[in-house]
Amino acid sequence: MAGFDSGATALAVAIGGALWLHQVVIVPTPSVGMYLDRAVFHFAAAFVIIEIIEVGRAVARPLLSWRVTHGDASACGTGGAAAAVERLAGGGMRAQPKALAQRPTPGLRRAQRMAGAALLAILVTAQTASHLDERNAYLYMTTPRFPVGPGSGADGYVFWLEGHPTYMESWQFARQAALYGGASTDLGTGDTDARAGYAYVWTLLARPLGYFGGAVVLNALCWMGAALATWYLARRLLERELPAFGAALGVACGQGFVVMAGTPMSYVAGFAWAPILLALTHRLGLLAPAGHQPAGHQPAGQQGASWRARARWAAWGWTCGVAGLFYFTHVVALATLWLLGLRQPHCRPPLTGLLLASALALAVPASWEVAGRAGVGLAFASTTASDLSSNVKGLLQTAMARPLRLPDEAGQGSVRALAGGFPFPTLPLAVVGIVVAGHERRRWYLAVLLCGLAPAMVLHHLPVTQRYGYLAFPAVYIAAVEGVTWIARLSPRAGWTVAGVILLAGIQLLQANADLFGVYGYALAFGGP
Amino acid sequence: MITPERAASGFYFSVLVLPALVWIAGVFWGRRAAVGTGLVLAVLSLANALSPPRPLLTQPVQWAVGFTAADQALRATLAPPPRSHVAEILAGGGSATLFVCRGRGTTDDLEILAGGDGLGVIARPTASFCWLQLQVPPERLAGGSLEVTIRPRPGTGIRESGPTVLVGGYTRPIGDGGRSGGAAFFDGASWRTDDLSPSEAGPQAGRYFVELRLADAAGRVQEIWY
Repeated sequence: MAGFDSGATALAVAIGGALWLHQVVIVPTPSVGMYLDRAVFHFAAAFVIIEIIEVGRAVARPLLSWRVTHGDASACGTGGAAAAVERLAGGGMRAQPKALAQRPTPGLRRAQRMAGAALLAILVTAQTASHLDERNAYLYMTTPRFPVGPGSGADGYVFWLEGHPTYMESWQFARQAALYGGASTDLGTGDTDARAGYAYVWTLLARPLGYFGGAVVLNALCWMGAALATWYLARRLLERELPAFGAALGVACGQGFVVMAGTPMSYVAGFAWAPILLALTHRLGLLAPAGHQPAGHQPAGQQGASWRARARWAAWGWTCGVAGLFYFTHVVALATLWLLGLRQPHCRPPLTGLLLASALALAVPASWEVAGRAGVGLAFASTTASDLSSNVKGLLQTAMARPLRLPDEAGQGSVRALAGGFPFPTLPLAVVGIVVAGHERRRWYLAVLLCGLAPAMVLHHLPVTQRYGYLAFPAVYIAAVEGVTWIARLSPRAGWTVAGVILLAGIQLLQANADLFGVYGYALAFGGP
Repeated sequence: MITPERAASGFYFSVLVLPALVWIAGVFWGRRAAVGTGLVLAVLSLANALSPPRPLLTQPVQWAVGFTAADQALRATLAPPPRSHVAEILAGGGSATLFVCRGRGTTDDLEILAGGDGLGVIARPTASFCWLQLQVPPERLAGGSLEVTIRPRPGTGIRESGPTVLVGGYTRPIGDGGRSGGAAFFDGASWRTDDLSPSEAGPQAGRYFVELRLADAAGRVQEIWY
């Protein structure tokens, strides 16, 4: 079942579909951007549909495909696990003449890991500190010098927090933090009650650090967590320390993080949950089977331990639900988990685990809504959640009534959503990485990327969707370093891999911080209309 | 002060959310990390529950300022940014426009002077765009800053209902990293800076929303004096 390449098929559908649509749909002057937007939608839709069909095929011939007999995660028992790990980690790279993963490099020593983490921390701290107040990109973009700013005053669309200028909508989180900290009883907390997890952790840090300082430190911690989780994920996927660290550097220099770092809102935390939840799936053996189990853990699903497997799925679901109290990352993570979990090589689809995790992931935010209404008195004004649901309904209506228009609608701005967060050369390199990756890793990249991009497609009517599409970043940064590594290995000289990874990180660092030198194009590409 | 909101949210998050953070630390870094994370969160939670609340200090984004007597006036000193490019912008065919934000009213009852001289109106505010726009001759900008005075227009009188109300708001003082050149309110006897809007409750600090925007020949704002 793993032999069918859904990525390649989806690509063919994307190209063919976009061209065919042009022939049957009358658009006066279709631009290249429109073609590409449609193609991205076709690609995403085809990929998901093919994956689901493949799962159906697998389910239809159970005894032939299921190589283990235990339920749920136990389906990924040690026998099939070895092959699955081979596929995920090595895969097609091993088929390359100069394979990336011929032999995994030995792990780093503790001191080296600490040094790497320290470098990431320095980058995150320095970029956070240099993008506060008036240099906060999400704020300065609203001043009159920028396209959305003419209606604002010289300080922008500003909210003053302890004398610091921040983006106006931060007031909602600040007021929630004051409410949970006992400083206020004002229940007029705006539209972000559902994201109370951020406000609550903020109020804990505000006690010693002040509200502004607490938010900045919280964002930096989340950013750091995202970089470390991506490092872990990349190490699992690529089995090479240097490219894995390069992916972490990509996150530490990530455009989306730099733009949002100084804003006391839950965006940075929401971004951070994406790689953390993905890393947990590997750490817990939900997707990568027993060969990747941490020391001391029973491989999920060994005989007599199915309750442990279910406990892991439940724990992941609960954590995913907690992420839903910060941002809608839980929805994206759930979609990714289903897409990857349903079709694991040599594994029976762990339906019970997936359902259990999904139920918990959705139950936690729902429980907060009950507790928040009854215990705290919050109103839970619907905003992004209702935007998402109403847009999904709208897209479904389009799909039913005018299906040929669906790619135009849902695909609108999807290329910009990707290119805005991942400027050249990161995105093209990620494409190279996806193409040269092994079959199973390519599936992982595409599932994470397309599910991360999905919110931008759903919220397509908004003028700025790049921050929604940024949830694709774990796949993009890891795939980009795989692309760099593959290109570097075309050279007979040693050391090009190191040079390539450093060069890519340097370019990302310069682009994300170009605004400090008066070059605003990169920041605007992410945050501007 | 243990408020119901504080107690309910504290209980919920302590039971359902914070343990997830501890668990994540344990899954990736082991028991010591979990214990450490748990201890930090426990201390922070206890401090949050037991210590006096930390007040949320915010500054007003906007406040209204209106005249209540004919001899009142307000003054905004518009300072250029560091490394101003005013000469290049104007030499390249750019323009200088004074923007004054109106809260309500027609603005016809106001006299707006830049460097002591009146200015011609370019555009009036609308329901969705608060800015009254006035053309500033380039020669007025030679002095390095621009002083704008706004006062009731002589002869229009101060009406009890419907006089123009302008807008001001907090901005950071220069000593704290702010850029505004400053503002003052003339109450009929003296210029004061301790309260820029006697018509608003409480003393108001900051600036008036009076700005000079320098645009290039294509109309893109390149520089703001405020």
